[in-house]
Amino acid sequence: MKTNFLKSILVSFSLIALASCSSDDDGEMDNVNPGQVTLEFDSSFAGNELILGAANAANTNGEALTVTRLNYIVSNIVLVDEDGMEYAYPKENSYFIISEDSNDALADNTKIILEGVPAGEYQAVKFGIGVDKEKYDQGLSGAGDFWDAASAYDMTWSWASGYKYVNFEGGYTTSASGPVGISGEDFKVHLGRASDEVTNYTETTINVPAGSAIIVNEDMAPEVHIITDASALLTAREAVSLEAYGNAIMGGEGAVIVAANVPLVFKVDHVHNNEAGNSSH
Amino acid sequence: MTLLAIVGCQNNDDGYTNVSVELEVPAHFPEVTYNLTNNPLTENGIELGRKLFYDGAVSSTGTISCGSCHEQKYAFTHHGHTFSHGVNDLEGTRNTPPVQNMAFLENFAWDGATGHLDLFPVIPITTEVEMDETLENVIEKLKNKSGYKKLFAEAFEDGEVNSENFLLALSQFMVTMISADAKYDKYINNQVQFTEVEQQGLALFEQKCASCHATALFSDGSFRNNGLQPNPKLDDIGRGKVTGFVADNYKFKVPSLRNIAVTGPYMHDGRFGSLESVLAFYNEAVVDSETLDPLLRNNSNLGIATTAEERVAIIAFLNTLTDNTFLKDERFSEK
Repeated sequence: MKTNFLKSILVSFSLIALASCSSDDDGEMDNVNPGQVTLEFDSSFAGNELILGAANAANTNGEALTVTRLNYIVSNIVLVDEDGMEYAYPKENSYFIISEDSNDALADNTKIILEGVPAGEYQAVKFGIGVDKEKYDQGLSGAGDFWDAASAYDMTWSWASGYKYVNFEGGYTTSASGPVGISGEDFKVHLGRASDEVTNYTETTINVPAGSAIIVNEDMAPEVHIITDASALLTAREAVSLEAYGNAIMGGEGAVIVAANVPLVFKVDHVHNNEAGNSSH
Repeated sequence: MTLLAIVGCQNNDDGYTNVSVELEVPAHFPEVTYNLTNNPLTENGIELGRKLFYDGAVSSTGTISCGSCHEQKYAFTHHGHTFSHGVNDLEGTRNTPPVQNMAFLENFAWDGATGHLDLFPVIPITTEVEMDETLENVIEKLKNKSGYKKLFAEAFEDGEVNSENFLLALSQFMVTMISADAKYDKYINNQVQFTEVEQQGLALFEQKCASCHATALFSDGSFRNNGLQPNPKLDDIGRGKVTGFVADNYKFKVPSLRNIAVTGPYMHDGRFGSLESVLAFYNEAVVDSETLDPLLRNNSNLGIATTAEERVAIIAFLNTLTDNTFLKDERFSEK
């Protein structure tokens, strides 16, 4: 995968600007010596690097995937400290597109930079994948450029108007011993809201490795390296056969099963507690 | 951000004038579902929305506006068209639904393709057989079209010509389009009497129709398979296409019956030319299937049994739902 630094689209809902006439003094936790935290999302495929356009080994369904796109929306980021106290990043600024796309016109987004995080030692990162019902119900209010950015990354639906939470595409072949022997079929897995009852929005909490912490203060700029296992989208909790769903999972039971897999595909690989102004790697 | 906030409060520098508009909600209507706190109505916002509703710039050819298929005198439907024609005379597969009482709905389009009014216009704008355009292009065209920069600046605090404000303005306009002044409403408010046959029709309606066509909106907003024989050429599975669940196949949103006399043809595919045909269908032509609505299944009898006399009375009642005030309201007209 590409490892060069790629500008993260920090697409923020501009609710703050709209609500500009009201005071922001709402009794938030004291924000002493705040620092910056970078979340870097690094895609893998069953323990190996994810290389777009290159075939991977067959999964438990005997399907060998070649991924061309793995885009998803990360939202509602919360950092949890050693005492279980939570710092929720301001919701209006907490929607991000993470992308690795074989369309070269679209710059990859792999980093989320959180500014003004209260000093502390954090042990876990909690976030949503997709757009929660509360945000969806706000419609375009405060959406700013987020809808347009999502649209550019093919993260919106127009026929069923709303956001795609995950856009996972490529091709696959079944193993030679497989009963059907499909070769070179394209697949599309698009996850999003089916209805008010079936939102398919999920959240996950991932701990930092034992013995480490995300150390935040005015002198530190930690980087949290998160591994996203693309393979696990179809296997983590329950195996989903692309062939069984006609190569396209965009709703229905298939999407519900994938949505249950989604929280399990992320893990914190390691944390760099960098001094502010320095960046490792 | 703090600086922005302060600047935002000193209005008028850039032409922004916030004249709030209070939405008048009829007492016998259900709760407003649209969140007016997030998108507060203003005179300029509504007026911008009206102008956008009638602007062909939303289509790739510049010729098809929202108002092209949503004509006011037919309660904002496309009268006489089974399916509406979009750009280059391409034809869709569903009958144009009315634009009325949008502030009270939970889901939009026949299949509930979106659950938020703000997102609704994206569907016709981007659909190939309707406007065949992208939202990005629409915004670019508006930026270059005379007058719009000023109108957006007057309507929104940040004044931007962007997709957010474009869709918020359209929502503001549509939210104000309330139809609540039909003879039925005057009857509910004890301002007029029903004729004997209308009275009889109301009683029959409450007995046979109101479990789905509920509330003052005359729809419970649910998705149901009402037993139409699917048109094999279209094989439109309706709600099932949106959710992907087989249990939703062939279900469509229960339509409101307000202004029903002027919104023909009827059903999601516009197959029936008259209300007589609709009631005759429920009486004798409902087709069984796995997802047929249970309310249309009484032991071995399918549908809703009516006599010819009862159908006349029900239609007399349905005619009291025509709201001429709404159909002629200049606030909603192309100027």
